This record gives sequence, structure tokens and C-alpha cells, in this order.
Amino acid sequence: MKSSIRILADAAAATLAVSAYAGGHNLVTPDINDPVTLRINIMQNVGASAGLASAMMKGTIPFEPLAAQAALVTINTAALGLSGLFPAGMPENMRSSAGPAIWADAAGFKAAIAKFIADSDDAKLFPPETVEELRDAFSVLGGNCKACHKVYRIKR
Amino acid sequence: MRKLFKIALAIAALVAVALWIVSAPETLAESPEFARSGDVENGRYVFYAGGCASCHSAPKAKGEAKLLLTGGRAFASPFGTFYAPNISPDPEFGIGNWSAMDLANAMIKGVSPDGQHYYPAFPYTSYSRVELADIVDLRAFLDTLPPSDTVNQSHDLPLPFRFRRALGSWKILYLDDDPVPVSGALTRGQYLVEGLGHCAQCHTPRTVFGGLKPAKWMSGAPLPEGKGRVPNITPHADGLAYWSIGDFTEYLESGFTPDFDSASGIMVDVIENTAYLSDEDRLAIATYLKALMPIAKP
Repeated sequence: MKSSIRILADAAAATLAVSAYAGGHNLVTPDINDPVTLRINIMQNVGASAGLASAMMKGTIPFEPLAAQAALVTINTAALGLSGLFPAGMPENMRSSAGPAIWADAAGFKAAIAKFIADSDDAKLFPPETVEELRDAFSVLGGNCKACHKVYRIKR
Repeated sequence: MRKLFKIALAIAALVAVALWIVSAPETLAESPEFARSGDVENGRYVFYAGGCASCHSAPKAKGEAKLLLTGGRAFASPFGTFYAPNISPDPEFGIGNWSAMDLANAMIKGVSPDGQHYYPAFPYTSYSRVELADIVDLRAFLDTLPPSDTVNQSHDLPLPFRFRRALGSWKILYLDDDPVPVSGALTRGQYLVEGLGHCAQCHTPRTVFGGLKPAKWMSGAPLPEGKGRVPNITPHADGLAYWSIGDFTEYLESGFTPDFDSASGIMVDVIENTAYLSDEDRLAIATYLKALMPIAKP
């Protein structure tokens, strides 16, 4: 097997393993008619990528530039997919941890998603070659998690 | 010269008297607990928790034979060799005619029914922490065991250690019932969480008057604003039973749960603060949280 294919296979296996663990705890079947299920899965996929990146940053698994890039690309994909999934007028949903601020402050929420798209796009365009570069990319992305979750998310 | 000698003698006499006074055996006060008839089943449990048979059964006894508390096992030490006594309920060769209070004085104060100090080969410096109720129950259980007529063997000690009275002074240094400080991490964690961290203000439910409910400590509560909940962070299945200490310290530093979910709402502010703390302090907080009573969420 060509070594780059092997690396990608390893990275894919690692991501799947992390997401299996991550998803296993709150498995939600995606349903095209239920945006709540779609966005929960998107966020869990972000979690799996964060897990992969974190393992590389901690040294639990060896740093692989292609795997790091795969994590950033996944996160960008998630950011790109979020905006249509919070339709106005959705009833309060016990399963969903979407906070009321999403609708009360729709402009602010849209701006937060736009920032997430922009930041993850920047990260994607500069594939990290070292753990330090991955760490730098992640500190920006982590800031997005924090800022959005702080205002727009609520535990139920 | 004679005058100096007399003064030295007087001082020596004073010191001897002082030591004699200070080394007097101390016994327990009367208690209504001693009048209670003990619970044999709990006494059996106390017997195993206290490990009585391991020292007081015959040397090489196994299985059922370990319940015949003949004594006789030898314990070599830097102070000489001690021989465990017969503590079967035999009234002549064992402790059958001891009251519950006698047993309590032996175990808690290291003093025999006739006012002699026991050697601390008998671990009364640990048993000093045992509750009277457990001793009363133990007494009841010991009474159900078979009697033995094995005669106690005298300890084999070098001359300086044969003077039992001296143990009274030893006890001043080494006998207490203060709790031993637990690991620094747990104490520090308790200080940080219960004090400065004020975590319970969100994580503990309140009464109708707005006070915290200690019986539901850290088991989660509604968000004060009304919508949403604060999670149960006790080690219960509906809380964080499956989080390791490492999961806690990671979360307190990065806001990422073991599933790489990212902290939400006001907890983001909290993480900004806990991220500022040292690794040792985050570890202390984690140690405390893992040690909490597991409580179901309300």
C-alpha cells in the first residue's frame, strides 16, 4: 500500500474510532425531516474531529499532517452546514440544547455562524505541518466553540 | 557538693512524680450506650472489619477454626515479641467476664479492666476511632463464639520495655482519635469547590426559601433564569459516574467533555476561570468531585 494511502487509512480509522466513542453515548439517527437530528450529528462530528486533533496535540497518537487537515476540513464542513438548520418558529425542543437566544438574537447567531465559517475556512487553507501549527489553528476554532455555546446553548 | 547532690535528687524525685502522674491510665466515661444489648449481626461485621481473628486465633488456624480466639500468635518487633491473648468468651482464660465498657476501654484507651496499659502491639491507636455502638455490638458477637481455655503467654520483652506504666507517657504522644488528614488534593479540592468555587450555587437544588439542599449536593438544578438545567456532577449514573479524574481536569482546562462536547452557557465563564488555575488545583477539584456522594438528579 502506498504510504500516503496508509496514512489516510489510519487517520480515517482514528476518526471513526473517536466518533464511534463520541457518538456512542448519544446516538441520534439523522432524519431529513428533523433538523434537530441533523444539527446534533453535525456537532458530534465536530466533536470527533476535536478528539482527533486533541489526541495529536497531546501526543497520544503521532502527528499526521493529513489527519490534522482532515480534522480541520470536517470542522469547516460542519460550519458550512449549520445555517439552514435552525428554522424560525421551531417549538421549544426538549432534546435539543439550542438556546432561546438563537431566535431572540437571530442576527447575532447568524454572525456567529459566519465567523465560524470564516475561521474554519482560514484554518483549512493553511494545512498544519507541525503540532504547534495545529495547536494555533485549534485555539482559534476553540474560541468559536466557546463564544457560540456560551450565548446560544443551554443544557436541558 | 552534698548540697548539689541533694538538689539533684529532689529534682529527680519531682520528675519521677510528674511522670507517674502524667502516665496514669485514662478510661472512658460512663455512657448509656454500654447498657444497650448489642446487635450480633453488626458485631460480626465489626469483627471482620477490625480483623480480630487474624491476630487472636491460634497460630496456623484456618477457616472455621479462626473463630476460636485462643490467642498465642507471636508478633516479633524491634521492642521484643508479643503474644496475642485469649479473647474467647471463656470467663476464666478469656474475656468472658468483661463488660462492654471493659472492651471499649481496651480498644479505645488501651487500658485493661484492672487499670494496666496495654502494649500498642494491640492497635488501639487505630481502634481509638471506633464508635461505642460498634464496640457494644462486637461484645455481643464475641459472646457467641466458642470458649477456649488456652492460657495467655507473657510477652518476651527486653528489660526496659517491661515497664507498662511508661506507656502512659507514650500514649500522650501517640494516642489520639483525630482524623488523619486525607490526601492534600481532597482537602484542597473541598476548599476550592465548597468555598471559592461556589459550584454548589448552580449545581445544587434549592428549597422554596432559596437555600441550598445539602442532601442533594451537586446533583443538578434548574438554571436560575428558568429555562434549561445545570447538570448533576456527582458520580451517579445520571451524573458523571463515567468520568475519570483525567476527564475532569481536561474539562476544567479546555471545556471539552470526554465526548468532545464543548461547555455551554454560563459554564464557559467558569472554565475561563478554572483554566487559569494550576494543574494541582484542577486535580484537587477533580479529586473532590469524584469523592462526592453519588445522588440521582432531582
